[in-house]
Amino acid sequence: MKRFIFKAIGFLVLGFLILNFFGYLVIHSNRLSNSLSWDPVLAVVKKSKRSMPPGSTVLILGDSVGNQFFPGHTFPVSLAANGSVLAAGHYILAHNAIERNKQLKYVVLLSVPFVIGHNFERSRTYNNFMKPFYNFENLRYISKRLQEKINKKIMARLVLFPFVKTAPCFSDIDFSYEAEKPAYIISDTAIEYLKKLQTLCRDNGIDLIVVSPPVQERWGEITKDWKKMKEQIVQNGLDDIFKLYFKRIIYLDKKYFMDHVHLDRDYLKKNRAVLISRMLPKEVLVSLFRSK
Amino acid sequence: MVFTSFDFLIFLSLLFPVYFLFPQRFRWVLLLAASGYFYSYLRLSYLVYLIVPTLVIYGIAVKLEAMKPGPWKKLLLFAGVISGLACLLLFKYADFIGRSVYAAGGIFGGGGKYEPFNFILPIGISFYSFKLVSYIIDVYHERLNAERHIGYFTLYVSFFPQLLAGPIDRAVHFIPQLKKKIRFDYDRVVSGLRLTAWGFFKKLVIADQLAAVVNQVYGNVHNYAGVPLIAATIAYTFQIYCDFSGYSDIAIGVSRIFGFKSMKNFDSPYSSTSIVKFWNNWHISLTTWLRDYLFLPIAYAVMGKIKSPKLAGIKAETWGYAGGMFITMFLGGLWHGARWTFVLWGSVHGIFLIFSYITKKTRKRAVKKIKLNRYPGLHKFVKVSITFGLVAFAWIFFRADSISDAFYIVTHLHTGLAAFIGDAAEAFLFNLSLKPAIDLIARLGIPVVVLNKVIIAVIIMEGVQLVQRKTNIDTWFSRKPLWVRWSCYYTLLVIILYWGRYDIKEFIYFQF
Repeated sequence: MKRFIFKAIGFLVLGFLILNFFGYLVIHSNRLSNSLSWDPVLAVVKKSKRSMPPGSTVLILGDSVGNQFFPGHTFPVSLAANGSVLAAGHYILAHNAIERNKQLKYVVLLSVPFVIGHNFERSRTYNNFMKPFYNFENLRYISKRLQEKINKKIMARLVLFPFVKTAPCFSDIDFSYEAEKPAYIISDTAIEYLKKLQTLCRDNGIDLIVVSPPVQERWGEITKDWKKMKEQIVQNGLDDIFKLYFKRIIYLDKKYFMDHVHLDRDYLKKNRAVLISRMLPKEVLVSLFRSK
Repeated sequence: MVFTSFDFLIFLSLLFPVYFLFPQRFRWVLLLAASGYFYSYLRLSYLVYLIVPTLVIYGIAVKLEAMKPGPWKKLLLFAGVISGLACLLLFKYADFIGRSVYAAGGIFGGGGKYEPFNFILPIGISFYSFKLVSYIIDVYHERLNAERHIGYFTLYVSFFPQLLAGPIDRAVHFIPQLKKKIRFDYDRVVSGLRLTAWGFFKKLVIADQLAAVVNQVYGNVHNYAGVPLIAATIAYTFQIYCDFSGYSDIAIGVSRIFGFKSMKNFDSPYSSTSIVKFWNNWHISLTTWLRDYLFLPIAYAVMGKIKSPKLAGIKAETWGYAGGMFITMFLGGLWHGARWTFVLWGSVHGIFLIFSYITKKTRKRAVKKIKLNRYPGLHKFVKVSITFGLVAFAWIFFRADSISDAFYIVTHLHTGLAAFIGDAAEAFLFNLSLKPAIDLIARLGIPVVVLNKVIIAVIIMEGVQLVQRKTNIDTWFSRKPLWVRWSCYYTLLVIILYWGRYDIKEFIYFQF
């Protein structure tokens, strides 16, 4: 029995190393990572660690609506993915990109009001934030508050290991143990990471501009013109990055949307250029045009 | 608790060292407690339906052994058999009988709607009920002594690796093992772990992935015709084999780890050269049970009723075989589930077997006439192909959601088949294109990448089974160098963990 125990321990230890090595390969191989459900987010994470095209001075981050305008997997200067990457994910992407692209002048965060303030406690957090972003390399970016939230589901910490991230045998962990926050409020973790993003850009001499893609008309009515959000922005010193946000927000009839959030594809195809020119300030448009 | 769950792996990891550290005399207590915990993990009330008939049969067997042969002994045997089957008959067939009677009444002008009992069928009841029945019959026929140790007997019935879906081990084979001294044996434990891992491979990588195709097509049969129906049927043929034999491998492997030898349950059934051989190699523990406790008694009874050597020009043995076989397969189908589709499946196999029996000499003559016997390889290929085709055809009735769905599938298998073959051949020969096949796969509800992995896994499985037919692969493999064995283990582990599907928790045979 002693022989069996020693061999079993050896087998398990070596197995742990081999499986994590395999998981590492899966993550870093474009071919193998295709099979992962969180590959679209992983793709922008990988992209954020590469140099952008020469002369690029604009970086775009965004949620899934932002992704409709500037697809993260095809548009050269875009790292737009979806809203479930959270403000923390946008921060990490920006940090990666800024480290490797010192020529950047503008960072544009394109996110609708009821997504930009997403809280951590959501069912999609595990696949869209924990798996792509929670690793040993990024632990330095995980704040104490965020780590406390992660620790509430202690098994989620195992996702640090590539094997756990990539093997389908592990069930997703649902963090939505609290009720999702009302749509018109920015969560505490979102505020924390928007501030971090603001500081990061300021320290690197980059203008951070937060703008909203078009939303349905009813949202303005429901939220009383985003009154609560506006108060939070002022209270937390975020007004300079949000200065254009509510001024340039475009309200459209619901017939131009394919669901309550995303724009109808045909409408977007016809009106993309016009909508972009209305959302983004002139200097950013000029830089974007030069980058292309 | 399901085998393919982390809970089970933790359970096994904790039980294993404790078992071998436990004093030999009291290991049965540990295993009994573990089996009780294992079963009650699913639902606590299941234990009642297991314990009560077990205690009743235990008492009847002790009494039966002490009685002299005669009508009272026969009556007690009958009571024992009914006791063993009572829960099974009630939970599984009460609603089936009720629905069928109401439906029959409706045909004859009767009215009213049947209100079902909606009993929750305890998982494994079909299997341990048969263990109880075989035990009581064997005691009656003095094939074994009634077990006096209630702990050993209860453990025989409730042994956790076999509890949910067999093998239906015989008491004469299993109970003596409980009384032997079991030492820790490195080679035996490693062999058990290998077999368990192999079972996981078949279940998670092949069976559960193919379920996507089968459920897609069989759940919406009227949206398909021709090649998709054939593809889904072949997929089901492999799904049910890998699901059930995978379970059996895990059950036998885990038993082996703890020092127990379980009976083999599958022996490359799809390589069988006849329907008879198929049934000798498929779900062997059930087939032998049906043979010993149903077929032979019925066949002899039928032959006994026929006083002359021939009746209506047919030999008495043929009547015996046909009568025994049809009733056995009819009831065998019914054992699988309380639905007429299962009965039809069993009956179809009954007809195949009877036909095979009756035409044996004719077929031999035909083979000689066309000189196929001069080419043994080709002859074997033809026999295996025909057998596989017949078995796959019969699975249609087993899997279909209703009899009407089954007949729809049967009558639409050929629809557009010639056109598809023509299109596929043309695309490949002239353009080296697989577009018709890829379009077909898209309709089947499984990504091409996943289907490719399943095909590779099936090839691996068939390769291993091919080697197994020539030699004892377990012994052969255990002699390979450490680096070869561990490389294979890690490769298998990666395949299971990365290619497996993990959202299906149950095995197909749990529903029986």
